[in-house]
Amino acid sequence: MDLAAFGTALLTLALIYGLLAIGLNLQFGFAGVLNFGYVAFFAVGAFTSALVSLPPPGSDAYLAAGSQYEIGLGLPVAVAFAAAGVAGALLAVLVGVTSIRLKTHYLAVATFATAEVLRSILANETWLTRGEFGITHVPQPGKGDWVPVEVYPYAYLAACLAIVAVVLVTVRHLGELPFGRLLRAIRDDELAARCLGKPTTTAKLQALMLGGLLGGLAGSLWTHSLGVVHVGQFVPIVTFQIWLAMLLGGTGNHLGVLLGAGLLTLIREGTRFLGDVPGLAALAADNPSFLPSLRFVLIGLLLILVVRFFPDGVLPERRRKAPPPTATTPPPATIAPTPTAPTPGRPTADPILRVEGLQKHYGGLAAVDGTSFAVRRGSITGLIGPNGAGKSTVLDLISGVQRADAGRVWVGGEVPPGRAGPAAMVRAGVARSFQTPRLFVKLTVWENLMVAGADVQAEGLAAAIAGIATRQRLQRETAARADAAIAFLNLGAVRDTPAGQLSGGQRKLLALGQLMLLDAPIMLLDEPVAGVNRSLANEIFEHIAALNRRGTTFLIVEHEMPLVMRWCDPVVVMHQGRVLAEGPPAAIQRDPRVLEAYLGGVPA
Amino acid sequence: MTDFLQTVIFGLALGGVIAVSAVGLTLSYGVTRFINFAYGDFLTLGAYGTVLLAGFGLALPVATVAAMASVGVLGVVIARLAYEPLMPRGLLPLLVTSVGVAFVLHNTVRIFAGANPIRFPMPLLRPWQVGDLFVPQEQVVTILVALAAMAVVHLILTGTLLGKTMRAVSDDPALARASGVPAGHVLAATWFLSAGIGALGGVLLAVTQITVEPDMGWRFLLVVFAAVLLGGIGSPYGAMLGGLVVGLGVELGASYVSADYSYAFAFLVLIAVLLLHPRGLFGRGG
Amino acid sequence: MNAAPPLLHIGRLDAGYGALQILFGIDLTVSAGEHVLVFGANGAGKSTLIKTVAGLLTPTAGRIDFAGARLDARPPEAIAAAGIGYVPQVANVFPSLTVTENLEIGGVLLSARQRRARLDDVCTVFPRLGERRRQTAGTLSGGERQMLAIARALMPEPPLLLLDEPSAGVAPTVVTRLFALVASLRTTGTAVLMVEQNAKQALAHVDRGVVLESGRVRLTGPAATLLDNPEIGRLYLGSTEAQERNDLTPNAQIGDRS
Repeated sequence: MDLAAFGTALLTLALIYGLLAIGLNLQFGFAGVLNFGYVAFFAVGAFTSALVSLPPPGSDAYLAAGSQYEIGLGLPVAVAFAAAGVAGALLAVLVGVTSIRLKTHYLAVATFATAEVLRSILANETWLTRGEFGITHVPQPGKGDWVPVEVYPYAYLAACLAIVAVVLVTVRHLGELPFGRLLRAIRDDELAARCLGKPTTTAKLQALMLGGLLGGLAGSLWTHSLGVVHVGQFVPIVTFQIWLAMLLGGTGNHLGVLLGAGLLTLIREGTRFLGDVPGLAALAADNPSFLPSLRFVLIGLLLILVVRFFPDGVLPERRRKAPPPTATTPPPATIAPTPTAPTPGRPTADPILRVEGLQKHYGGLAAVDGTSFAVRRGSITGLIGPNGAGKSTVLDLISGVQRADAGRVWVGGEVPPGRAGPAAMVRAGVARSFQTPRLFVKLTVWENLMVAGADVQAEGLAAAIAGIATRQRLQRETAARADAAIAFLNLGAVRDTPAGQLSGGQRKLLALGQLMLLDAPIMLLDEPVAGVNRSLANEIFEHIAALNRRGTTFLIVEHEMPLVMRWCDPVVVMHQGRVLAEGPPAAIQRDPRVLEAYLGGVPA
Repeated sequence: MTDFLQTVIFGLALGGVIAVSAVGLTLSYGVTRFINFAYGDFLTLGAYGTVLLAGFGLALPVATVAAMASVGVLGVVIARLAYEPLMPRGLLPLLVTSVGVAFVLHNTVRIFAGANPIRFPMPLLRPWQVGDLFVPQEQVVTILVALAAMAVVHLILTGTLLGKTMRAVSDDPALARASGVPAGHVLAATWFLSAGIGALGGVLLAVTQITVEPDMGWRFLLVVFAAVLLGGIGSPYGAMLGGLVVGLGVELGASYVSADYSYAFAFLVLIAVLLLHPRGLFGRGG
Repeated sequence: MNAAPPLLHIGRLDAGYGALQILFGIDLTVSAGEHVLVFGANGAGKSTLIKTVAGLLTPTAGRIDFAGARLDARPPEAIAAAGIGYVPQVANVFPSLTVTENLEIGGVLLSARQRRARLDDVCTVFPRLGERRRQTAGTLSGGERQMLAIARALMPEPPLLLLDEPSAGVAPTVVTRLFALVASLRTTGTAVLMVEQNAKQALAHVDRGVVLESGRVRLTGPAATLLDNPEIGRLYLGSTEAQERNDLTPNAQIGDRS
């Protein structure tokens, strides 16, 4: 065998698989979309590219080749290449709008089934695809024309190399932009991203589209390199070979994924030589499907072993190093919005947040049963009560994480639009933290803050492509605020550490930092010091008080009574889903009904 | 009318095959909470195992039971080696691993038995004739065996302590363990039953289609998924009903809409169910 | 006075969820037949303590001895087999199983004959359940579920019963009956370790009370007089001077290991 020719074919195949793996990685490794039907994008791209570039039926070239297909637009291959990308992206939109909201395994099954339905259509609509026969004589651009036939494979390889290089550079760049950071955040914790006001569905759809685009382009490269396209090329195992390439390389890392595709191709094509192994040759002679089957057994085994023993692949996700803090780090005072409180620390009488008649039932049980109270602008309001009083549920209802059965929430005198979800509430000025902080565990502390602080406009795919100047200015501003928050919260030592490696107390601080970057005038905190030692707990409340002095209003659910009594005023006491008492801390401590409620009495 | 009844008989037989297979899959889902993509290959192994054992001279029913038991044991071994170590790591590793297991299994079959279809050693039976209607005995046997199998599963689940512990673990694994249920044994029993029932589904599939081939189960997997999801994942009785609905749907669609797309109808049903009602039409909420 | 070792001995127990430590050096004993109530403000670690004893959480330090055997770091099924019955707070029945089947699960380790006999015994103690044997547990009321959960835990006649907030989700009138029922377990010599925020009512039915605060045992004493202790108000609602005193205790320095 001609080693150079074989090597060239191998590299071309590896690059095409690499493109596919990068596309899947954008969908899964970045946006967390579990796509078990990725081969569909590949197939759509391949057929689109072939049909767009084939000479029209009846033309001289058609007759000369003795072809039998029914559609051929006869357009240049470059146009076909672009059309393949568009077709892949369109299919992704179709898959996305229908099933992106499905949970993990449902999404896996739905995408798997979608690809099979598509394959069934491609196999049966013979007027379009010639079914199992496939379409031959797919144009190979410039072959024998301006590229001599002998060097054509090398030229094609060079073209693939150039295309993949451009794609790799682009997606790597995209990963560093707010858009890429947002995608990685969504993959880590989608609800948390929504609670930071992010339009997560749009971002996931965009990632799905980019992945579909790359799948379509890969299909085009593949079909023109072979000159043949038929439905049998797009069986489910192709999807899982791409998965294997991605997992081998390390999800979330495009360069690793490209390497993974190389490894996969080596393994796949290496099995061709198994026929030369003395013992196996005899078996292969008896059973023509012996070698291909052995290859798939190996691929299956590798899939199992890689998942089990190399969960991070050969190149794990890069630890991203943040740009060094800007020299002109502003003093902490500029992290928060300009003070709006007339006198720092002194709440005004006008309520910035008001809930009325909130109700939430689970089965027959009323968790929140007609709760009404108001939070004064500029106050630190405590929300306490015995277990099961409904405090956390009230926070969920206000922040839009859960929907109330009845009742209303006013923010600054207005009811936020419709049945507001968490993202809409953030836009209305209400941000929240969770009892167990929900951070983006694979993102560093700095990146967690950057995601929280980034403007939604700057995070869009459109902004990533255009508007570079504005984007960079916004980035610099956000970075300065992130570094100011890091300084303010004493997180400097862990600035570039992934959030998943932080201690319990540091997580609480980072969650608070995210809220600071969000700039929300109202912050709902769910047990900000649970599981934190006393001195750090005091410190967290000092940070809260400092923010409050600059105008932020707080509603805090907390069990550490000494801290509540020291820092919160007023204190609202909930019991059995309703407000039992409300007033300054000293009065609450003296109120016999409150102690009674804690000790299990029935409210009067 | 005759055509319609003819189609219904085939639909019921296919429905029985799907229902039996779906019950096995949903049993393992109930206890492990993940969709086993290698499940289809238990069908294939059951069918091939029966062919192999019948080749040694065993009577077909005996060969079937022996194949079910062997596939059941294999199911336990695979789960112990490949799945259980991954359980603490969540869903994705399990899903991908089960795909890997699927490829290993059906390609191993292909290595040893070749890629070409093999005739299933079911004696040729003359169809019964009722008026204009031909009732193939194979289809009737399939329906009866499927009904019997579902009755046995029902008895196991509600009449034996093992079945009750399986349902208890499916409801609440932590509470079951804290009540003294040996969760490891229950898990192993579930894997065994699930794979064994899958093997029976494979034998029935072979009876209805007369031949066996290495990727019969892998190709049938989505049809089984459709039934399971239609019935509400994790609910054995929903899976039985879902199987019948999908079987009838596939046969009616193939007769009256387009024969080329028979299984694709099941996939469309599957996608539609997922989009409209992800918990299944008969599934309980929560 | 009594040389026999306690039935349950918890020594210097630390536990929590991942990086989050909830319990700090808990010491607690329950003698055979004794009824002990653990109470305290939210987040004090009451449920965490019960779950750790039941084996659903693995302690990070300390030990748990029960009837002469060391139980910490054993799986929950081994702890159940050793003779500790556990009734979790909510979600404490198998909703798709019938009442009878729930009880059979409780007696999973008994022989078939013992199981049948115990099933009848339990149904005489809980006549409400006897009437509903074939009903699915998911359709029972809150109080009936709580009864069923307790009955299920009592199937193997465990020497110790762990109860996590038995009054949660139960109508107030039923709560009284529930506590009386728990108290009546003294006749069979069953010891009880109960967590309950309904402290006032529950204390009337137990022998001894233990107050947790911030994952530490702060007070312990006979049930009859414990609520008279002025410390109780401070432990629930805090007070500024006491807080400052607290900051000086060595315990306060243990905690987050950042």
